[in-house]
Amino acid sequence: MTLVRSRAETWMDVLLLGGLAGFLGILYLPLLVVGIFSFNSGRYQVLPLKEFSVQWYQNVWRDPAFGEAFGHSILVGVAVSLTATAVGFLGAYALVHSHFPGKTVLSALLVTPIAVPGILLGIALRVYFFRLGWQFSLFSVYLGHLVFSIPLALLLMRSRLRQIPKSLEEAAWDLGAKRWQGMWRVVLPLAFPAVIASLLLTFTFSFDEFIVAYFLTQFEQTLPIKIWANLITGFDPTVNAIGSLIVLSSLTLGAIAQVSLSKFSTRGVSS
Amino acid sequence: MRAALTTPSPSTQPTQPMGNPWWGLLPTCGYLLLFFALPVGYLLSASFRATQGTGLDFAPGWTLEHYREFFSSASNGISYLRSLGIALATVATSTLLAYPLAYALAFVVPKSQQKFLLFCTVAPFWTSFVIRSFAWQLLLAKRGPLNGLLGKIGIGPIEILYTHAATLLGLTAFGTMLIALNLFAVMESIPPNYLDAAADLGARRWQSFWTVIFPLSLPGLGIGALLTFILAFGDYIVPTLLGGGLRTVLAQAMHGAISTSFNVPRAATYAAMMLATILTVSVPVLVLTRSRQEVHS
Amino acid sequence: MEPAAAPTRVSSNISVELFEVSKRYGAGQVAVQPLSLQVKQGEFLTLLGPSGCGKTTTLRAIAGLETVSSGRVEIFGTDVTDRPPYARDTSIVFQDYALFPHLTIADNIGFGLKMRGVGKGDRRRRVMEMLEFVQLAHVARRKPHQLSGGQRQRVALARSLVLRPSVLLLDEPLGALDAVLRQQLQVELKRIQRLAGIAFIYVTHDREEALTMSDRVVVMRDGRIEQIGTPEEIYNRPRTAFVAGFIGQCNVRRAEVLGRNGSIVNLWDAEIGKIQVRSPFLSSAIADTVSWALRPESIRTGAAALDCTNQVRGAIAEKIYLGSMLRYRVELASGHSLTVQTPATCQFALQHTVQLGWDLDDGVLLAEDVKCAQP
Repeated sequence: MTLVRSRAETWMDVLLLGGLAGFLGILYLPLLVVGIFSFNSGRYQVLPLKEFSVQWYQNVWRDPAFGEAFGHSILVGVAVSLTATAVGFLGAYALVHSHFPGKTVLSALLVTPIAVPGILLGIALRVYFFRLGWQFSLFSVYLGHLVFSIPLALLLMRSRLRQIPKSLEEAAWDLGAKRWQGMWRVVLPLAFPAVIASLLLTFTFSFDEFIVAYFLTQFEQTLPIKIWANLITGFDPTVNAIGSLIVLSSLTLGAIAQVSLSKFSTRGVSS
Repeated sequence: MRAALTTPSPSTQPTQPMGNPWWGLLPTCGYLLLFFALPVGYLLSASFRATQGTGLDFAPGWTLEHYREFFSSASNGISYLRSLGIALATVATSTLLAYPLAYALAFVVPKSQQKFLLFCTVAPFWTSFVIRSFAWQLLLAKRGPLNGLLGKIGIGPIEILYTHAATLLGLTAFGTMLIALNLFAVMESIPPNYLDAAADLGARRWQSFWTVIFPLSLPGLGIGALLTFILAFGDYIVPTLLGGGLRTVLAQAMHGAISTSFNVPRAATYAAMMLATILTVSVPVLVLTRSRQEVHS
Repeated sequence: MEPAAAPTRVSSNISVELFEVSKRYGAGQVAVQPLSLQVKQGEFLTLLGPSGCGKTTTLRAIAGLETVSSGRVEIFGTDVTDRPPYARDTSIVFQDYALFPHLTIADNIGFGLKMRGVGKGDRRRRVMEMLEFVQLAHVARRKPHQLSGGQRQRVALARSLVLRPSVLLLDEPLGALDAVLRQQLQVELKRIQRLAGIAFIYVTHDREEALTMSDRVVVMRDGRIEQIGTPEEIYNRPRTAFVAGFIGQCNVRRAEVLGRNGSIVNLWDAEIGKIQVRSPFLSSAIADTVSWALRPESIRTGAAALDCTNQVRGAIAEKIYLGSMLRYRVELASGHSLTVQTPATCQFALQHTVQLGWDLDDGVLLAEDVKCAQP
């Protein structure tokens, strides 16, 4: 838009940009405060700050419970993201390329797990597993996280698959590819940005998820559960340190995803 | 364009020389049936069962007892209304904040920085919900840094932590991002011609906002607001960490029914109420959104 | 229907044959009416018609990308109706080329060979040969988006030809290119077709493309074949008013049959009077009304018109300059008009009265009213 603007409209722009900056400030301020307190030697979260210290980070390092919880979260997250992305890819491919009565209704139903609150899903699965007499473990957390991760992955990849011209897959068939060869050698590589996005997003959702995991594990804690336990049972500034670490690594991961995705999508399918 | 004209609509009624790949949906459907539909269905059915002993040891037959109990108990009603009030307030506040935000991102910021600023808006939400909520808790605490600073300039201390206001604040931060993101997606897809045409026809900025941008943004608002409503209505984390545990919301009541007494039928009744509410809100919003999208496409 | 794999004519010169092939979508939507067609080995055959005439559907049915609702598709005598595209010895060049954006040019061309299990060394050799054949060896390592439109078109062609298909299908392959490049590539395509020695089935809505490149043209409308013939036949002896109009500017008129004298049919055109047309067949009865067509450029003017069998006078009502040609609308006494095309040197002033004339072979009796046996 290169419109000529009046003075009032210029002021409006300044106001809007100010609002944007203000919102970003409010978003990042709490995280920044956590970061600052993670280096504060004091036990209590009050001003003024005491001396600079890395003791809380040392605590994270020393406390095997944190490391263990972290390992559990990574394990579940990786397993969830791989499974959800594979299952979601197949589902998205079928939704885009197959035709059967009731497809619209089914595709609406398939995304409902995203719209169901975590606490409801957690309780429903806890009761269900309890009824079946299953053990609560990291595996049940994995099963629980898949419920919302599969639809998420499916949605992400469906929108990408819709952009791939049908003629590309047809060309593959025409050149001698069978269905699975076309999927593997043409559709999957072209859906690559969505596959990456799906892997990262489902991993993050699983890694950060608290309430479903909380209802589905008994002895093996994931990181959010461990943090929650620390928050509820008497505060320990170690949480500041672990929180800062998670925020920092999430932001880095997000930035990497963003950069790699935009790089891929620019020399895109439709060129 | 030419291809679209000369290929006789294989997109509407395609034939499938390679077979119909519906089997790709089998894993998804099978999984969601086993680990979503059945568990949720079982839980909902439990709300109609009479308790006998503890846990899943139900008396034979069906009953509406738990619903009668739900509607006759003032504390249940208040929890429910609290959740509803918080959710509606979150949606309202988030919408008001999201519009200028999305507008600024879509039309005011320089194009070169649009992607970066968009990333900055979304990035915090890549981090753990628990940690973000805890960060607010830290900031807002009675003797926390916010009151520390306010004290320096002679205000306060304000006791905001463990109130509904704090819950609202925590949820609104998330809701604003969610709605703004959906609005931005719609606004960005508005062809600049529309706005140029509006300007050419003499529309001032606010006029072109109300006559062009706002109507076109409604589908985005619908989806964003709906997601925000569901999140705020069913959330357990923010009301617990920021709102405190005393004035319970529906999610906390549900949590309590399971963790303290493992009273499945009661928890199931709360769950049914939660789902029914979400469904009541979702269906009209989705129908309206869909019909609007059809008009504009 | 015959057993699927039984070859009926192994050593014939028919490359592709369609038997009563039809295609319906859903309930009422008919893309292709039952249609039969023979494509000869080594022939350049064009399916020509407006949007939605079923030409692309027919092509895709031969490729196997579209299932047929009824009928049979044979390639070299083998029934392939129920074979998926990967099991057919055909290859298609798409309008958008459908080059795989994630593969290099060499890998694009090698894709089909890889699918067919051709070994790495053999594959590389054949890809390089093909790249040299289409003069693109220097871009082997590039990706499709780094190539120009014309280059992509040649890559698409190479990707199909490397498989040595028994028939090559082309779906408006020049549609996305600019006019100059199109003309170059028309010549190029024709050369490649002669070298490859296989049948090309070419779909287009561009009549000039069809006329310049084809050995035979199939004009289609509403899922039906209107006429099959050489470009000359299609242009000079259109069988229907639609073909006459689609292939070029044409005067299509109504007339009454007066009688016939050998191969000469006498007609009465209300505005022109008695005219004579040479036509090998006529089964309409005397006094039936028929349609006849006359190309604007077949009409002679001035002194040259005086030697012609058929003559009429009219006034110049409109003049359109076409570069090398002039097009006049000539108003007859009755108020109806004829379109006449002359060399640009043949100038007439508006309102000027001109003598028009044409010969026996210029007028064409159209088939909608003429029950004609297959020639």
